[in-house]
Amino acid sequence: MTDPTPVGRLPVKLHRHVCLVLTEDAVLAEELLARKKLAQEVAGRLTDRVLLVRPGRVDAVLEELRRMGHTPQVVGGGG
Amino acid sequence: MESDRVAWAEAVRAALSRYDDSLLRSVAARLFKPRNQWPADELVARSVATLSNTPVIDRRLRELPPSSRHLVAAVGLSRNSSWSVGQLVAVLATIGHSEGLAPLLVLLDAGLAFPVLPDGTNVIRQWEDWLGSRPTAARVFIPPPVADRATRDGLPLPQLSGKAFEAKVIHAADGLEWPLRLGVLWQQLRAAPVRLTQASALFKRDLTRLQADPILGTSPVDLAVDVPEAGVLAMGMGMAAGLFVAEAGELRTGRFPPEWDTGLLPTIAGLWAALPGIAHWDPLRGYFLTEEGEPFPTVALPALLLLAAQPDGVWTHPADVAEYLISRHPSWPAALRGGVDDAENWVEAMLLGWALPSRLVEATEDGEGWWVRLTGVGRHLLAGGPAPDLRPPFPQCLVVQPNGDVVAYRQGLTPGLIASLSRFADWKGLGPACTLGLTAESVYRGLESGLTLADIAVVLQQHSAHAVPANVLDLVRRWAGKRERITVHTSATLLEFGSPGDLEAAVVRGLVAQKLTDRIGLADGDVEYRHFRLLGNRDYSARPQQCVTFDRDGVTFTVDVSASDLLLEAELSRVAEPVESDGTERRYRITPESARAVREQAMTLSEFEQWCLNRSGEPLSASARLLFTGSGGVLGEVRHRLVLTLPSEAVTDGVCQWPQTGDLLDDRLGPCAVAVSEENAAELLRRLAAVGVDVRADRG
Repeated sequence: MTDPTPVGRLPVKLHRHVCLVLTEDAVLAEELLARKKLAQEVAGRLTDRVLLVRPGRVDAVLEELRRMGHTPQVVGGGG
Repeated sequence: MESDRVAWAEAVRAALSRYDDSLLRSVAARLFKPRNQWPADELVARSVATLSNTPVIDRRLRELPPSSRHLVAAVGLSRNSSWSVGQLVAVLATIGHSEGLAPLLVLLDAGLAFPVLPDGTNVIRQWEDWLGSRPTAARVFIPPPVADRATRDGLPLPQLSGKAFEAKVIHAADGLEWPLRLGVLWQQLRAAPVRLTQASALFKRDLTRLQADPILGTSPVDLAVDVPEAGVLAMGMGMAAGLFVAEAGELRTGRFPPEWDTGLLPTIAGLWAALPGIAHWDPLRGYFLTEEGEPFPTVALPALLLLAAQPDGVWTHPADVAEYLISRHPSWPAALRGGVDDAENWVEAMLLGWALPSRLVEATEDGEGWWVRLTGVGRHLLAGGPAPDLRPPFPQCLVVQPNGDVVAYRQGLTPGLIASLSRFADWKGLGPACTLGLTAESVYRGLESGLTLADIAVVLQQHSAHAVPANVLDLVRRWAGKRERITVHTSATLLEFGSPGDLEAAVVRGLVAQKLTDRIGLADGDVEYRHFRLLGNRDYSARPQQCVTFDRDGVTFTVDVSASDLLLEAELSRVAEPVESDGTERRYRITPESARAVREQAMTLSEFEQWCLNRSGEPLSASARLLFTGSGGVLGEVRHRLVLTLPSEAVTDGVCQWPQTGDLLDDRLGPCAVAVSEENAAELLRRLAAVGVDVRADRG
């Protein structure tokens, strides 16, 4: 069976090699941002539970998360 | 195995492709005697095919001089096809051929051995081009089909004066000691990698760490001798076996070798094959560095080959092995601290400290000291003996206790189970009954290594003699659930759509794994470009892209949406406020309030300047700088002044420079304007009139 032909090509802007932290809820994201060392590695907040990490700083974020006692699921290698 | 065949065939092709045409033709002529003037590609392909042709290989081996044939046999018995030239010369000399490089060059000429060439190697016209100034450091490999065929004839090593007797106590190992220690070290490296020098040696801190470790730093419990620096030996074995990988100056964990899942015999064979790669360890000294290369692999291989030449069941004294080897090995005597007299101790320590726990030899003791002989495993690997059945008698060897501790009875362990346990439980002690602990961190490590919660539960349940306590399974489930609370994507691909409807359509088509905002979704694996029309493509590992253009006012700017990125969105919310625009353009303005907010977020002026430069390609404007810094705390002043306007810039320059008039002026306001205080005005006009500059007073 072949793949169905796409109905239409969707206009999209691609963002590659993005470092993100996804939290279970907004309160947890707030908790992370309250940690000064972690907050300085966060470039911005995409939504209330998605944090954008500054490029090249993902190792520092992982280290700080683990220091806080979290056990983050790491997707895409590293850590 | 097909994958092995592909690997060695590719290595042969890579080597032959670097041969000069005349060298290639000469090697091919010896290997398969081509009947035509075939092109080089054809010669390479036929050479690779010939190396799988058993009758031809047998013929070529028979044509070799004994020294070359014995060298191939030794490599075959080592089960590792790649050795350094220096190691091969040493092994060759030790088994009785002191012709130096000559036997190896014969093999290269015959197309039965090939150089391992680093990237960037030039074309080889003669072997000296490759061997260069340090021939012993060069590496060579012999294709496994060739090496395997050569092992059938064995090696003409002598029978030593052993003795056959009924030993009262035979010291034998289960072969699990090194897999267990490698599992322990794997966990430790996972937690904190070991740093390596450029020569792959250890820094003092890491050496101390291995020495002081309560498990790795001690000798195996039932062993008759002390193993010096057992942790360093385990590290060397792990590196040679590919379990630990040196990366950017650090030793990191790799995957457990696949043979661990197939049983104990393949695991022992794999660790035996790792022998030539074990560096920086010596049976008497422990951690040992020499520029010439440590003699351990090149003495251990001939020593085991010598034991393989003894009749089955006969015990051999280590002193006899040492006496045979010491007079032949080219560099070993010089490396012995106590000179030749240490040779017996060295061989005894090597056999009892490394080979016995590897299950290659067994030992017994009488009034004359220790005696050794090959085990069934050793005879299978080195003397063509039958493969022993090493399957554990019972698989249910674990007892999981309610506090999360696990007892693993050694009789039931397998390398595969050791690998699994190493991933999700912490080794606490090794012995007849090994102990482990389940913790949040260890379960997290297991999940991060690729196991699932179900995998962990299955391992515990399948190998437990009793039911796994419900509270332990519940704990493991809870720890695993905790990991689900935060997900870090180290290199995600996000798809930003023009409208929520487009994102929804992509979700329906299965192109988006997760919606993040109403317009942005997380891509599901590789992006299928045929579904998309790309409006922009941003790589966040590259430098920030310029996507902002400032207006003349220096504080209002327009964003180029096609070139912008998500980081910019976050940055904009910090530094500027949106401005309403009539078109589709996105415009922002730096205001006194947004500038103050930037300062309060502890962003420095230089960071703000860098942001401007990165995003607009221009330095921070004066007006934006004004909003950010103000006057820097210096007060301004408001006062009444008269403005004197002069006919030209030249006249103004003269009036400012001539002391008679210059002393009566305040600040220069422009090319032709200066400020004058009211009390100095009359005197200034008088002095100007004296030099011919008439000034008309403003009637206002």
